[in-house]
Amino acid sequence: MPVPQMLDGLTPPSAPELRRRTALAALFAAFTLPAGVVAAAPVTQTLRFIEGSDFDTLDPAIQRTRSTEIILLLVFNRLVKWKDTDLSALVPDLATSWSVDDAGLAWTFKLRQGVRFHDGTAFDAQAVKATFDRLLDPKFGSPNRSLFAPVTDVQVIDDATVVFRTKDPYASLLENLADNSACINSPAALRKAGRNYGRAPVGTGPYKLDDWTPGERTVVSRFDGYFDGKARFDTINYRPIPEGAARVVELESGNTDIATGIPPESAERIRGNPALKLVVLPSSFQVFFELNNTRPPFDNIRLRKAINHAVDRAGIVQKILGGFGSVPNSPMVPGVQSYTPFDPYPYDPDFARREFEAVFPGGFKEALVIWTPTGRYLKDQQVAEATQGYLNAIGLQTEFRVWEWASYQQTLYRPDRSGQGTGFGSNAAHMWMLGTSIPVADWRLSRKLGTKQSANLTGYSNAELDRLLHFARTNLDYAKRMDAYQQASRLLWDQDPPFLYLYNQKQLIGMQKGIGNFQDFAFELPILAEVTKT
Amino acid sequence: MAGFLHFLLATRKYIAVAGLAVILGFAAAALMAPLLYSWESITLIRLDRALAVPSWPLPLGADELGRDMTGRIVWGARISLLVAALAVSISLVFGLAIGALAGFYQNWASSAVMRAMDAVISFPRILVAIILIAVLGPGVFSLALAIGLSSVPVFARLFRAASLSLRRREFVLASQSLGATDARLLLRHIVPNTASLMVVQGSISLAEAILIASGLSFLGLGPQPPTPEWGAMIAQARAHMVSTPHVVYVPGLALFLVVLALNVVGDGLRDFTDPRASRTSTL
Repeated sequence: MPVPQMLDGLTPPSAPELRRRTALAALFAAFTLPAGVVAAAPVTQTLRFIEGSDFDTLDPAIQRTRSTEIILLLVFNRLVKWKDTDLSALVPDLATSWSVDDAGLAWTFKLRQGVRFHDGTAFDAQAVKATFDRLLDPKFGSPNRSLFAPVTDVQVIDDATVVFRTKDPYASLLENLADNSACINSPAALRKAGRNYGRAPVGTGPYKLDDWTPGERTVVSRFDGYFDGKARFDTINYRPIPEGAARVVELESGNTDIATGIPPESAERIRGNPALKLVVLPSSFQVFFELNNTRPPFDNIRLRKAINHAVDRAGIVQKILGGFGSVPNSPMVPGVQSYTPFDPYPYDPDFARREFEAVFPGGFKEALVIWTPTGRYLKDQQVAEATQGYLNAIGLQTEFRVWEWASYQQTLYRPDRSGQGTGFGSNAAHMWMLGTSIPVADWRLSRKLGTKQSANLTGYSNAELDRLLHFARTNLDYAKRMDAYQQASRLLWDQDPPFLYLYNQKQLIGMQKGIGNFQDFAFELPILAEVTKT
Repeated sequence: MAGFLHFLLATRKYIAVAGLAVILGFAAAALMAPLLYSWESITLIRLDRALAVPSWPLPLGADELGRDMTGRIVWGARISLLVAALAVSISLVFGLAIGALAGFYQNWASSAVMRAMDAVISFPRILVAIILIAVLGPGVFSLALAIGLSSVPVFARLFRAASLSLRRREFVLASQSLGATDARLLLRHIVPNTASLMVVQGSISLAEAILIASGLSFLGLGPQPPTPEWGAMIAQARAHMVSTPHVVYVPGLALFLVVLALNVVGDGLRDFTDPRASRTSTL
C-alpha cells in the first residue's frame, strides 16, 4: 500500500490536467477579453490537504465520519452556521432570519433569495423540505436521523419561508441545523442520482465536487455562481494517507500544503524544518474506557470511581502523548458547550486497591477483558497497554485484545438480542476504549449515556441524568440549559462516573510556511475555504 | 551433535559454528527466561523511564512504556522459539503423514489430496495464516497452528517425492516380496529414511516460521499485549525509529540474528546429511 501512495505523492496526477485547463481558460480569455486584461490572467491556485482517513460516502444524510465533513463544508451550505470556531453564536447561512413561536413548537426560517445550486437549479423552501423529508424518513434509515427526530413536519409557506414543527419544544434544533448532516441538497440532484447521491452530491457551497477516487483523492473546484463572494482557490485537493509517518514525509517533500494528525514523535522534526510550521490546537476529542455497567465489577459505582484513581493520567499525557494532550477535568472538554472544569482525579493506586479489596475480599478473581482499537486515537493502543499495566499493579487480572477499527465498531455495536447485559456486542468485554469529539452538549451526552439510547454501549442508566437531559432538551432558555448540562457533567464526573476517563487529545497540524488563516473547529474539522496561501 | 560440530570444524564452516552458538544462546535464554526475569518485571509500566537509552541497569534500554527491553527480548525469544517449534512440529507431523501416504499409495485418493495441497499452495502462505487466525482468534497457540497448517502442503509435497522414490528402491521391494505389510514398509523403511530430510527442512522451516510469526504479530495477529513478541515490539516501536532508534533496532537485530543463524545452520546440516553435496562451500 505505501508504495503507490508515495508514487502518487511524487507526481500529483491531476497536475497536467489542471495545467491544460488553465491553458484553455487563458486561451478563452484571450479571445473574449480586451487585450490589456489577458496579462492579468490568474495563476491556478490549488490547496493540497492530506488527512488520515478516506470516507465511504459524501451524502450528508448518511455520513458519520469527520473527514467527510471537511468536504461537505466546502460543497454545501446549511440554514445556519457557527459564527466562529469557539461556537460563540449561530449566524445566518442559507436562512437570513428565524423566529420561534411562544409555545416553542414552530420555528419559522426566512430563506436567502437568488441562491443557485451547482446544477443550476434555484434554492428555495422546497429544497429545504426535500432535504429534511429524506433525512427524517424512517425507511431511508439515516444514522443522523435522531438529531432531528423531534421534528414532526417541515412546511413550505412560500418560496422564501419554511416552518419546522416539533411535538415538544426542541432546544437543540438550531445547533443541530448547523451540523453537516443538515446540509441542504439540490432536490433535482437527489431525484436524479437516487441511491448514487453519495458519489455525486450537489449543494450551494463555494466549491463543487469534481472528482472522488476512493482511497486516492478528492478534488473540488470553484463554483462561480456562489452567492457569498468568490472562492479563494481554483481547486482544493484532498488525499487520504493513513500512515502518520507518511504524512510527515509528504509535508517535508512539499507534496502537500497541510497535513493533519502529525504523530507527536515527529513534532520536533517539523518544528526544526525552516519550510514548515506546526500548529497545535485544542481538540474536543476525549478518549476513555467505557465500562460495562451491567457486569461485575463495574456495575458497582464505588469501583467505577475507584478505577478512575488507578491510572496515572499525567504520566500518560507527558510520556506517551509527548505532552500533546491534557488530563481530563470533566466529561466535557474546552470547546464543548457548557464546559466547566472540576477537580481532576488524583492518581492514588493504593486507594483503588483498597476499594477493590473492600468490595471483593480476597480480590476480584475474573480477568478483566480490555478491548482497544489501534491507530484510531492518538497513541490508543499504547495508552491501553499502560492502563492494563496500572490495573495489574493494583492486583487485577486482565485479558487484552487489540482490534482493527472497522471490525471493532461492528462488534461493539452488534445488537445482542439475549436481553442480557448491555444489549450490544460490547457485553463480551469489561472495558473498551472509545472517544468522542461532539461539541454539542445534548448529543455528546445523550447518545452514549441516556438510558437505552442508540450508542449507549455500557448499559449506563441514571434517572437524574435522564431528567437533566430531558429538561435541557425541551427548555428554550439557553442559560438554564447550560446550567442543566453543567449539573449533568458534575454527576458524570464524580458522583456516578460511567467511564474510566483517560485523556483529552490535542490536534497536531503541520503546514507549509506560506499557509495562513488556518481555522478549525475543536472537533477536528478545518475550514479549508478560509485558508490563505502565498 | 558432536559429529555435526566436528564436521563443521573439519570443513571450516566457521559461520555455521557461530550460527549454532547464536541459536544455542537464544534457546538457553528462552528456556531460562522465567529464572532471569520475572513476568512482573517485564510487564511493569514505568513511565518515568520511558524510552530510556541503554545504560546500567537497563543494558538494552526501555521501551515506550518504560519496560526493560533486555527482559522483553529474552521472553520474546521464548515466545518466538515456542511458536516456531510448535508450528514446525505441526507441519512436520501432518506433512509427513500426508506426503508419505500419498507417495506410497498411487490412487485417486492420493492424487485428490495432492491436488488439494496444490490449491492451498497457490494461496500466499501469510494469507492462509491470516484467515486461520481470524477464525481461531489471536494467541500463541492459534499463531503456531496457523503457521503450521499453512506450511503443511510444502512438507507434504517434499515427503511425497521422497516416499515415491523410496517406494521403488530395492530394499523396500525386497522387504515387500518377503511379505512385509504396508504399515511396516512405511514405518520401518520409508519414514526413517527421510530423517535427514526432516532435519534439514525442519531447521530451515524454523527460520521461516519465526519470520512469518513476527510478520503476523507486526500486523497485530500474534499473542496479545503485554506478551512480548519481537514482531509486535517492532510494530509498536517504529514510530520512534528516528528519535530513539534502539527500541526498533534491538528486537529487529534479535530477529535478524536468529533467522540468519537458523538458515546458516540449516545449510550446514544439509551438507552434513547429504554425502553427495559439494563440500567446497565454506559457509
